[in-house]
Amino acid sequence: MNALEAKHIHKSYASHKALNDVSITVPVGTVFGLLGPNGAGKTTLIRIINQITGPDEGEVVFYGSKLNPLHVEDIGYLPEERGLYRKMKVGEQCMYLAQLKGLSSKEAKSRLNEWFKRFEIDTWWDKKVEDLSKGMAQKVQFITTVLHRPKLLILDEPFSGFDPINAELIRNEMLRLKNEGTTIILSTHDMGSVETLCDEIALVNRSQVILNGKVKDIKKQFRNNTYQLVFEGTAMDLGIGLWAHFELISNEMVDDKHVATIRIPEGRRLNDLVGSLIQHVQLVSVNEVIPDMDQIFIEAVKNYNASHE
Amino acid sequence: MPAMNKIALIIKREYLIKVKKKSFILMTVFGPVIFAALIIGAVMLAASDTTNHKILIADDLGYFLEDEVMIYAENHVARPRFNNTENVTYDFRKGMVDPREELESGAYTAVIQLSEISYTDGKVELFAEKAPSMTLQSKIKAEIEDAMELYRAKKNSIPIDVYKSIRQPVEFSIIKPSAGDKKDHTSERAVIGFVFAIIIYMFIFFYGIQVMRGVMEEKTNRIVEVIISSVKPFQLMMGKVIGIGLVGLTQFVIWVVLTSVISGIGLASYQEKFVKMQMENLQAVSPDGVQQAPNVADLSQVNLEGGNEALEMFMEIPWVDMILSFFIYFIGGYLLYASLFAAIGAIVDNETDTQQFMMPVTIPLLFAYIVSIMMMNNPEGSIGTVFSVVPFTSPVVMMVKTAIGVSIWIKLLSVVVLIGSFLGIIWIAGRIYRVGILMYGKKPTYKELMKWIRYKG
Repeated sequence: MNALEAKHIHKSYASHKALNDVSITVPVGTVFGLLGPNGAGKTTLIRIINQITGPDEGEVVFYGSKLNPLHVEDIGYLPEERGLYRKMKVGEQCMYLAQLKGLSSKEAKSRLNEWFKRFEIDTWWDKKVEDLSKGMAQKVQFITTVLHRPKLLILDEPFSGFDPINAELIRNEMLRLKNEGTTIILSTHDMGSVETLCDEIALVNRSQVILNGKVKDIKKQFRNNTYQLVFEGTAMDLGIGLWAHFELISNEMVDDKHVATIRIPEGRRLNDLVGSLIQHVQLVSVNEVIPDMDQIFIEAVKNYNASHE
Repeated sequence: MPAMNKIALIIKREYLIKVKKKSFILMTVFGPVIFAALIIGAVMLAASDTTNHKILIADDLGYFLEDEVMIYAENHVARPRFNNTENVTYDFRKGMVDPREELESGAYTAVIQLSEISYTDGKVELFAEKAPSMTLQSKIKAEIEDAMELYRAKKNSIPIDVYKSIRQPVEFSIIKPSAGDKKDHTSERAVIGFVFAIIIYMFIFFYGIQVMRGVMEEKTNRIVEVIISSVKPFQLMMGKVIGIGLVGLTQFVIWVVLTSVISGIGLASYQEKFVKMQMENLQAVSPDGVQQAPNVADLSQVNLEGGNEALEMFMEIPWVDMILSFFIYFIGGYLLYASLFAAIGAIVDNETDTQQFMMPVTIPLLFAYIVSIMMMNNPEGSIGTVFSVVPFTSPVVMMVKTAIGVSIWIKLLSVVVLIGSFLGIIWIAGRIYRVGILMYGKKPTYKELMKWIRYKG
């Protein structure tokens, strides 16, 4: 079952097209990474899912039914540009936002107590928001986003402004919520957290989805027969071993050993490389180079832009 | 949860936040204290000038002294003019005096010098370090005038009663045949209406700007995107407009109640003194303490007549209609303007950018105020009728119009136009608001605003 399906979404503003035939499918219980350069259209898509704006064309299906205003209570949204009422007290503010999401005041109060304890901020209830640091405010915002136990959680750069300890806290909360069955859409530029958290991603560039699927599969797709070899010997030996059959991408010395990155061209296999090299150098290890999401992001966007210039 | 409950939550928040603010509490409590002080002060000022005045009247030619004024004094009989009261005593002297010397000696607070020119041209000099109150000045002036007339009449051998009958001032009594030939008080009623108009004008302005600031705060704080993922932008806007409007109504009601209570208590405790002072003014105090009963009766008769006229005017004001209209136009006008102010708050990112967009909103309001002032001079003019129907001016102008008197059809038309307009304006403002709150950076042009209104979804 899918938590969310956006089908052929189009959205234009006065001067530009923000989304051009964008479709994404987010299965229930996954962490879905929504990636893309600034201004690609991610925020517009998120706003459409939150019903802040409507699409010009296309539809959004939420847990099998067409998206409707009642669904706002099943969605929790942490925008990238997020704020709080500065003059309100922390507790008051949380109660207000919780009730806007449809919780009764009693229910909101008891859940808030629970969360405040979990985040060790029980003493903040009567603090004014303007007295909170940025990180403290972020914690409060995270709580108000998840308090109504949404089925779908949309987090836009949730880690910005957090120190590593609090970022870890939020990361763990996300995983805990995921294990409880919450579906999470994570929009971020932090590719490290995409690697560790996301099951699937969609890469949006210039108003279109240019890459979409399971992180595992995408990585496989971007694997390009590149290997990292550690060996003892000389660069000359390596050169002789490679001859003209393999492409040397880089070679450097690390602790009196060579670390070389080598691409095997189409039609040849790892065995051919190893077979050729062992006659000339002393191999220590051979590892396949799997591109990280950072590289995939850059490559995909560059390739797309180059082919659409 | 139903949409209405969410609006109620927003209204509740807006209301409680504003009402709990120190500035609101201070203004709500001290406003009436200031109003009451003004009312009591005005009454006290009207009643008397509490400083003691010793006034020397010097007459160079001395005719003044020959006048019966002095005869009364010598005979120890209360005089028709220049009565000594608790606060004011008069002395008379023949010849020229040095006013500075007299004032410096401390014997007198004011010196009035009559000279030849006073008799011919009516020029009189009053010397005083601190000018007596306007009331006292005009009283003295009238009495000198009266005494001089007496002198001139005598000089020309005209019996004083003949002279008085010749010199009769003209006074207009405006009668409106359609109103049962009663005396017309339209201008006075227009003034009462103007007071209501000013209250509406001030509240629309003050609370409209509060709405604008509130919207801007939400936008610049970046809380707005969180809120509108829970409620529709329109609900947020209306919740804010209604919440702040209720704050305004609350303040108004508290002001009316507190002002009447405080000024009531103040006037009541002052009443005793006030009555005593009035009596003193009325009574002729003669050195041997004999009261001149007829004088008292005469003067109070005059006062009573004046009171009756004020009462008659007061009764002519259609109070039920006034109060009903006040709330209709207060609410209608507020909704109209506050939603425009909300849209302005959504368009801009900072206070300085508001100026450009506030202009077209404040000009009609200012214009309504000016029309109301014009109506006090020309109550029956058609300009008042026209602008009591135009929706952007009617909330202010119609208050004056209602006090003057307006046909039921004009009133109905005005109310219908107002309701239609605020519904339309709220819709337009909502469209602008919805787009504006998520736009940061460059402020839009009017052309872009038109596009915002037409955006779908």
